[in-house]
Amino acid sequence: MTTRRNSAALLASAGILATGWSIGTAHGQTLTTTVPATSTTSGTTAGAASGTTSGATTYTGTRQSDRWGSLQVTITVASGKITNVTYTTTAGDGKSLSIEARATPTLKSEVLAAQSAQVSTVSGATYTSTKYLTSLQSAIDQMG
Amino acid sequence: MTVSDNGTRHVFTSMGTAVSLAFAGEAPAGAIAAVENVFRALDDQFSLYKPQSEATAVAHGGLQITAASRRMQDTYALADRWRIATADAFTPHRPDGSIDLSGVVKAIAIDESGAALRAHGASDWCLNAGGDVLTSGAQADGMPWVVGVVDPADRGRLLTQFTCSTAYPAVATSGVTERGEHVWRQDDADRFVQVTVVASDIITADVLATAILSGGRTALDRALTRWPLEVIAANASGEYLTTPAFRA
Repeated sequence: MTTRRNSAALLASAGILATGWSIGTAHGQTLTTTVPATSTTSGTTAGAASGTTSGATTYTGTRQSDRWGSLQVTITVASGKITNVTYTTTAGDGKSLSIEARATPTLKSEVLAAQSAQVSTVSGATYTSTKYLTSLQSAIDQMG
Repeated sequence: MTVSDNGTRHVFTSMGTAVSLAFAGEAPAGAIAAVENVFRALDDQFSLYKPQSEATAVAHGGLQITAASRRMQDTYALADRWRIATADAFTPHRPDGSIDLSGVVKAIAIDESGAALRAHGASDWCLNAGGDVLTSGAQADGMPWVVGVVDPADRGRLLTQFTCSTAYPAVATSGVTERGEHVWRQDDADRFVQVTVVASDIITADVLATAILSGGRTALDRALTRWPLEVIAANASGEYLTTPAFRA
């Protein structure tokens, strides 16, 4: 698990959750409605309040996953106001975080060569030229 | 449509490009028509080249996105979600502020076509729309689908290839060689001329190929920390950045 604080995208997501909480309270809903305090991961605090110093209380939401990765938000509340929002994410865990998966400079001679006999189809930038399209497609069809 | 020992191939045009659909065997009844319908419906609604389309009304005709159809709103929301996820490297907005969803509509058409094919019982097929590819299963001979990648320096040649798998069935390429500088760039550093992204689904692959072409090395590094991908990006000097799948 990686903790990040400088990703604009995920901060935006955290901001949306925080906003949701504010809206929720405005409608008299409880904190756990929009930021469920039922942590299910990592063997840490089982959600709800894990009190801290100076009257502040932290709440950890459930881990949310979608195609953009997973996210778990923790908020700190003091005197009924959110004073801090942090999150952890597993987005990028595993293969994509390994050093080997980083894009590295590669000489053309080191790029995996195409074995045209094996190729089923061709990926390239969008083609708008009818002539080019027709040619490419006929070439692809010949492979078939 | 052609049928041979190597399967069935059907080609049609939509969204200003060619769509090629290959089956390992015979196409299930209705499968090809279902794919054509997916593309036609999306093109009718989202084409900015059709004066009567809803997208044209949104972009130029004064139709507010908040007053548009649910599908238009959902598509805009999806595209904007990707804008946030890519820190603006991908955007559904043109520099003048008008909404342009072309960057996701073709990928959505491919994605929905895949669902339609599965619903028709097709399991072994390869769908290529204008160079963006989604595959399922295997070729007629049982071998996995292999996608060649055009060499940006010589489009008559292949630069490299990728062997698709269940985890990595989708390949998308964005480049500046075909339509000129059609992608609005975030900065001048680390300019790529062609970016190919392999991902677990075609929308992710297509959006991130565009985002990396637009956002350069920064966008590439960011994408690799967030999604499982294979990438090969070429700059104008003929240098490449690659993940392991594209290295010999």
